[in-house]
Amino acid sequence: MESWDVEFRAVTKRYGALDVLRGVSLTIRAGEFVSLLGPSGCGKSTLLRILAGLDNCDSGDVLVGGASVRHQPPGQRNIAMIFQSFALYPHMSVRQNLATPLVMGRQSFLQRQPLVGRAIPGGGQVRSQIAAEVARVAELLQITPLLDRKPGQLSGGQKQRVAIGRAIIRRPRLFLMDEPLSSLDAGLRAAMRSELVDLQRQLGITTIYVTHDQAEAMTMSDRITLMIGGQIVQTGSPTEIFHDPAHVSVASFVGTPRINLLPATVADGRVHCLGIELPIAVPGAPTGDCQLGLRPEDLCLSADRAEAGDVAWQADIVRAEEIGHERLVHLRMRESEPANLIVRQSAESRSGSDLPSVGTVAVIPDLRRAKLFDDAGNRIAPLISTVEPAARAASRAGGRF
Amino acid sequence: MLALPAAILLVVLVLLPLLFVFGLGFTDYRLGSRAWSFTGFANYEALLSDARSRNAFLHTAMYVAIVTPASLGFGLAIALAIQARKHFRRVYEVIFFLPVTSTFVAMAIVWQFLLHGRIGPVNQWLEAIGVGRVDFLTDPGIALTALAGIGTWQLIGQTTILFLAGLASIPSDIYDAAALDGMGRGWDRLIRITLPMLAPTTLFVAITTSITAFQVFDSVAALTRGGPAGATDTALYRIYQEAYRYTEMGAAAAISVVFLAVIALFSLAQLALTDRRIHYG
Amino acid sequence: MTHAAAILPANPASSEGMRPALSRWFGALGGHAFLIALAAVVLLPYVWMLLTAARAPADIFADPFGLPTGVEHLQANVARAFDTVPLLRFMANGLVVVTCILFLQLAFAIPCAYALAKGQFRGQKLLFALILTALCVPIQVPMLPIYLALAKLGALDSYAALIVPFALSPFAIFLLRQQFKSYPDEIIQAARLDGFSEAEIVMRLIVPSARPVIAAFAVFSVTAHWNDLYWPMIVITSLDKATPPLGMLFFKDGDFGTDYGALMVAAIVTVAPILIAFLFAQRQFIRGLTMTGLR
Repeated sequence: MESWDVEFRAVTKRYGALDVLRGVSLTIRAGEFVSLLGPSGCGKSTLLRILAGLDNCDSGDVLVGGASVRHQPPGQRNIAMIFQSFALYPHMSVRQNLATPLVMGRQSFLQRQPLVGRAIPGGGQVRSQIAAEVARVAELLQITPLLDRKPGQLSGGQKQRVAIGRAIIRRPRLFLMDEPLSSLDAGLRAAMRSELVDLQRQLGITTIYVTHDQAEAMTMSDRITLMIGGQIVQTGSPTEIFHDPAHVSVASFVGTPRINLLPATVADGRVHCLGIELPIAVPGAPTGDCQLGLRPEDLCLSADRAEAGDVAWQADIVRAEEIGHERLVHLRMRESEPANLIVRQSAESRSGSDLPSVGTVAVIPDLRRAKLFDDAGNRIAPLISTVEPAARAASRAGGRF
Repeated sequence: MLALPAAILLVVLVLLPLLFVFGLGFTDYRLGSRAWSFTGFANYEALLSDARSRNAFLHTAMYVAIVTPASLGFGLAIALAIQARKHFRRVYEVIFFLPVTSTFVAMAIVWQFLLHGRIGPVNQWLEAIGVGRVDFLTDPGIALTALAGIGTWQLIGQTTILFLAGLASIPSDIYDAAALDGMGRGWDRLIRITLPMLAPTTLFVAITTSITAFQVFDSVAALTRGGPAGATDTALYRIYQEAYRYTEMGAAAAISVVFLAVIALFSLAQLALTDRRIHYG
Repeated sequence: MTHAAAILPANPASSEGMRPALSRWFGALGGHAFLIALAAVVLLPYVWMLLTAARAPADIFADPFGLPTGVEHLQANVARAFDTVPLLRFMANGLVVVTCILFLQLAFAIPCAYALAKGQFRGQKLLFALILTALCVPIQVPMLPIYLALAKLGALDSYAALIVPFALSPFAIFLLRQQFKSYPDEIIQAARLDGFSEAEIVMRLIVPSARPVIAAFAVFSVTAHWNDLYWPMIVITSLDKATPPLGMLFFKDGDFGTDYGALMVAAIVTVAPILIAFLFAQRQFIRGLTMTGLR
């Protein structure tokens, strides 16, 4: 199947007094799987609906394959969409549900009519074509035994497949999905995730996937577009989004548990955080307040103050959660407000550890992975760790990272 | 016990009278008479042979056969039109619902004036456009239809509101999916999506409207008194005449039983549908 | 079909943009036109009623389409209307009757509905089944023997005759039972522990929680009985006990039945109270009169 690219140019949308989309521009390459990720109300569903033609944008343009579709009615755009509720026609059988896009697209107005349509000559060939397509798609998605049932008699996963079938049967230019897995239970969700990705690779259709679940976006997409407050904050591969966030909101949104943010200050290209001058240099960074971001897995704990070294903070353990393969330790910092920190300890790093589950410990950051954000939230880079090679080797020897 | 008073009333006002009516149907009792006897099914046989009684039910059936489809059709069309509007929805709802709240006798009298053969404005207007006068309420061939028209006028608001509720229960997702499949706001969407999904509501509204239509009385009593020449004799009016004018209680009871049977059938269907709506929303 | 889009111009500000908006506009216009046309037919009797009430009888016959010429005819019609029939008396009767009926209906229905919803007693299922049966019985059928009983008791042509037959409303019981069923049992149990009597529980907890349903039913009952012609026509023979619909009929069938000016005034007075109440409480009215469609 042919692949199409999509472009949004400065799309804006307003509902009453609310700016839902504030000038969104985005290019999606042919055959890509792009997720629109963000919290509720960020505008991702609205953007999708504008692409589908279910809503109009106030200004800007939407192009598919280089041509504007802004004024085309949704039925003519040849775009398929899968809804969170699947939106299967409840009064039609699965077979009829699957056939509907083809009936609307290939049969003439008269041929479509319920009783008289059969009497119109020449309709037989189209009808058998449609029946063949329905059988083909049903076979592909393994729903052939369900063809004569109604949606009310299907399970969640089966409904999902029928919805997919209805979407792909007319070989659309684009696949749009609006949180299609949210109404499935967790086990099914994981299975459907990989099925959807496999299908997309197989068919090669450009796919845009809206979700608020970052794990979904991270595991399924070629690229992720993070939206907050009606604007795109960052677009990039899952790795880039996770390891190279452009803004503190990106770093906060992606990653579970949430990234730890500590208040810090920059002066003369040096960074001070909670009473410690950190061995990192940020040349060219403006003087002022900033935030130091360290993910739970970028921190390490030590019961021995001396061994921890100079670059460490004191904290009290509030609670330790055992999750089998790892342990999440909740700590309360003495010198900061807000005071809480979460550290992730993987099984290996703990083996042989004598760390108690209460008491005071030293918290040691891995500054190579630290992220610094200025007071507007933008990422300060480059961030050069100036820890001496010897010290680095020593801490590595401690086996804690 | 809490339910006792109501239970007593139930027996006294509903159950006992029902039994009584059944019993009366088999007698020739007249109000105030001392001598009466059991006549078996004589009253029921009379129903079949007496042209007036037969016609009463026939006319009632014809009335319902006009009023129900008409008020359903208009109600659906108006509901679809209102639902598609962005402004003034409430204004329209209020306007169409006015007749439902208004004393039917009073409004029927107004209609009688409007449809008056000589001085009624409708006839004046019909003459003006070249169609000529129509004796709406005094022509035996047209009177029942005229009454049906007035009855429809009164019921349109109710069917509209019920259809609006039904339309509101169709998820907007379905309409979105239909739009992507190529169905805009047109004929295709109406017959493939909207009407089929409204089918349960339509059935319910049809039964409810029919029950109300069967009980037509006010317009007959006020405008035509069963005339002209018995053309608008209806079941309830017949019962009224027999029981309270001619005091033929036995005959009236027999007609009542048939009346009861028809209405009860429809009501049972309505109850069954309501129950399903409550449980399966 | 898939390549059709490539032919469209990429210019976002092209005149293509005007057509969809314009056709939407025409669609809206057509819809409004249809609704306004039908609304005009629906409003026709009301408009006519108001116009005719303000014209002199002679003018009405001479020129049906004419408009009112001044206030004096309206005043004259009103005066004659209230003279010819005791309109105020009719209204008062109507008020008394609907109020008493509603009061009795609620007084009997509330305890019964509560018992059916939350109680456990022998014959509960049977009672409910009988209530459902009563719902399927058109009220005009039991009216026959009740009329006979009233005649024997010499109680015809009285307020009691107008009110008592309607004291039981199976519909009210059905509705309220459904509503009461959804009231949380735990609150009732807690109230009992706090020393509430059953009557207090019903009146101070359950009933206030069901206010919207009771309001909707009240609308239904008041409207139905204010507008009822059948039963008053059967039991009432004297003018001073007539309810508004019967009063209208008396007026029309009386000697002055062709005094259309005054007749229309009477019609307006009959219809106005419920109409005004409707305009002020639209939501309750619509809810009450279409409540699951059951009568």
